[in-house]
Amino acid sequence: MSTLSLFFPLYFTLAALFLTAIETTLFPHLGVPSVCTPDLNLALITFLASCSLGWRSFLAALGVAFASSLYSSSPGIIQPGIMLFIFFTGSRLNQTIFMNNILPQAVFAGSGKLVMTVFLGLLAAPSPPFSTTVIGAFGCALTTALFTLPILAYLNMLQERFRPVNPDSIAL
Amino acid sequence: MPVLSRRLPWLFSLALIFIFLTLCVNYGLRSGGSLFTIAERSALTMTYPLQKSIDFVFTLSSDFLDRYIKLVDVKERNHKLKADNDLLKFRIEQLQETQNENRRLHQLLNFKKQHEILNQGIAAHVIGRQTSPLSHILVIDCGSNQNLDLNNPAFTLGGVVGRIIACGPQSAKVLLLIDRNSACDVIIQRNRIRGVLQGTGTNLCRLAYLQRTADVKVGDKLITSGLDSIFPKGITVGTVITVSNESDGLIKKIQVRPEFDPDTIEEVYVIPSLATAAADNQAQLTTTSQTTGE
Repeated sequence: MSTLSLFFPLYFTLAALFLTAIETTLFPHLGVPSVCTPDLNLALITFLASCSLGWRSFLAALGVAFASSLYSSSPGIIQPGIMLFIFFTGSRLNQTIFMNNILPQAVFAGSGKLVMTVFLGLLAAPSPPFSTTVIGAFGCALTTALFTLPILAYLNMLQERFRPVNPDSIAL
Repeated sequence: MPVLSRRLPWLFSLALIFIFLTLCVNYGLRSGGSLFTIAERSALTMTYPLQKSIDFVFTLSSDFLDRYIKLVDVKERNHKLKADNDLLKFRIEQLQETQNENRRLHQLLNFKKQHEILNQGIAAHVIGRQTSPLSHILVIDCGSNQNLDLNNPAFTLGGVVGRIIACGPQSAKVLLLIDRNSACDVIIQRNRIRGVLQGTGTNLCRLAYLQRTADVKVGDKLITSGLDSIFPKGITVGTVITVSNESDGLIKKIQVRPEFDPDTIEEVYVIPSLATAAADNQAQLTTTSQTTGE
């Protein structure tokens, strides 16, 4: 087992942290409305859900959920909890589809953002109007699905290139 | 048992998540979320350089786009705005000219109301003027088509301007009072002394043929006498500005300033031939009575 594989969760936690920083700075410059700001960390969560690395992928998903919650307006336990729910939901799916088709991964990430937005919208106090919640949820889902495509493609490309001989280890 | 052993990692993971979340919630409730505060501070400190760099790059890019790339459109827009501005200036000037013209015509109308005989007259625009310094002639846009004829008098707001010396179908020449070839029979309004006003070729006129003993003062108003069969009686002509006696002459030397400025006349009021006008009036009366009789 590579020594670096021990730091596998840390890579994704830091990646999630910087990805969130990029999201919060980049998208306003690009003119993306705040209600439709994509959640690129869901791309990492989706990717990790497809990794068969056992506890490492779980810890990495935990780190991603935690890091992304640091920039969220609802820190608490809600956001990381929902992200982990999405992670476990994804891990139940057929991994072949995840690994060989990037678009389904992006759609799954978008669906995850839809669930998150609905949940966070329902739990927000005061609650926004239902129509606003629906529009915002679908906007977030669409933009997340679109923006996670290149990230997922890049991560899958990395995984294919650095496919470990020992499936229980990873070398980045 | 095999099933349980196969699912043991997942159960272990779920239990770990549950314990972690419970700990987070409990810790957050008890300490007011200080765990997240410390983590947030750390995260902000770590990501600040990245965010600052992204913001700097995008701000620089947007500034570059706004200040240089978009200047092409700004230049075209600037040209368009300049053209619009010129057009608006031109229209404002036109409106000002129309306003001034309206004011002058309004005053002319008042002048017309003051003199009943002018009711038969027509207004004409000055469309040209002689450029020779020796002659003072205006060209107006009315002629024989408007019943104008030779020697028809022309007036302006102040009073008499001159008479028509050439008349075409649609335009006519008006000889100004100040022209050297112009003359008009006048009387001094104050004491009714008669004289002949002659042009001098300058902007002033001369009151001729008054004896040395004539009572003429500076500031006396001159009006038309009506004896020349050209100008109707009682219209203001000018004001006496200098009076002097020639040392060896029998007549006074009197300079008169006419009531108009030859360089600024733009509209004149012309009275058609009195006989023609009277005939026209009679014809109109006849037509009206016939129409009424039917």
